[in-house]
Amino acid sequence: MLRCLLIKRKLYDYLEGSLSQIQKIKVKSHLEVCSRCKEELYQLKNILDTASIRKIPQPSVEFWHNFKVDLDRNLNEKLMGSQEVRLKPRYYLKPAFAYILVLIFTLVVGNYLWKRPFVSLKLAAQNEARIDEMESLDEEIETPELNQSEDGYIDELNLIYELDQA
Amino acid sequence: MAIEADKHKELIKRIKQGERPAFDELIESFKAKGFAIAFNMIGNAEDAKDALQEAFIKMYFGIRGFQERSQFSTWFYRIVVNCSLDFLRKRKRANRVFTELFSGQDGSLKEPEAIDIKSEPAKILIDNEINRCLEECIAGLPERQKACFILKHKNGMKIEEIAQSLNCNPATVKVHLFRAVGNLKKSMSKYKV
Repeated sequence: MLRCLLIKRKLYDYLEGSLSQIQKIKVKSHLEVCSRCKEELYQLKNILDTASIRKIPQPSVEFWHNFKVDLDRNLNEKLMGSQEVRLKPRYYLKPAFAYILVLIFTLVVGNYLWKRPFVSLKLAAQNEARIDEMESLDEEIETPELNQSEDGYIDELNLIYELDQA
Repeated sequence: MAIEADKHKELIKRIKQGERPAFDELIESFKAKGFAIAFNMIGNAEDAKDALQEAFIKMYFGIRGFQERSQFSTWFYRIVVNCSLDFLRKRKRANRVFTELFSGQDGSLKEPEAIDIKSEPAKILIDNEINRCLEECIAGLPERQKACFILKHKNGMKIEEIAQSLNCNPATVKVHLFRAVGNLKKSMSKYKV
């Protein structure tokens, strides 16, 4: 039984003639005594013979003419299609280009964020300086105004007094 | 043979330069064999024609990438086999035929009735029936097994040629063939072939 199993595995190669001479003799001698394996070989041979006798239809001249016409039409359509695709403007971003854009954006944003603390410090310092400047200006302006207003007030009083006397 | 190979090389060179008449000449050289492969893979002439057209179009667009390390014929036959398999995949025809053959109305597998082939008057009819069943069993094989079996036993190609056409090892082709034959034997044993 075990021998049958081994022989059955070699039947296809036996039919194909791809066994070595020794193996071929072994299979042949087994087939002479084993009817089951012989039946198996017969079945296998029948299948292979039946498969190989199927006739392929010989296409007519008209068939090949239509084939050529269809093929030319399809090929031309595909060629035109590929040209149209080439002519179309490309709105999509190619991956490399997209990566570069992302990199530039990251650098700009990073640079801005890096510089930002110094800018705010500078602005704060500028603001303080301006406030000081404004205060000093206010002081400078306020004093003459006060002096001027006192003199004016005295002048006005003198004038009123003179008018009363008159 | 060598003259033909040289002629094909010349044609390929001209096609690469954009000469359309050279492509037409190459079609004339390979259409018959290409049709035989596509027909055996697909099973009917009209669909085989479509698959072959697709193969020629793919060949035209891909010929610039053909490095000429292998023979042009094996490269082209690989395209034909792939186009035929794509075609079958799209239509799922193989599965449908296989299911129709062996399944009942409820979709369950049914045992085919045993046929008495000893009756002489019915011999031709039975032979035709067996042929039809075998074709359907072949159509129901897994893709690679089917391709190997058809190229070997219907198109008469050698194992090395099949290996080149399917881009695999000769040992792998042998394994596929062995399995295909085993599956066919199993399916056809019900018919007392």
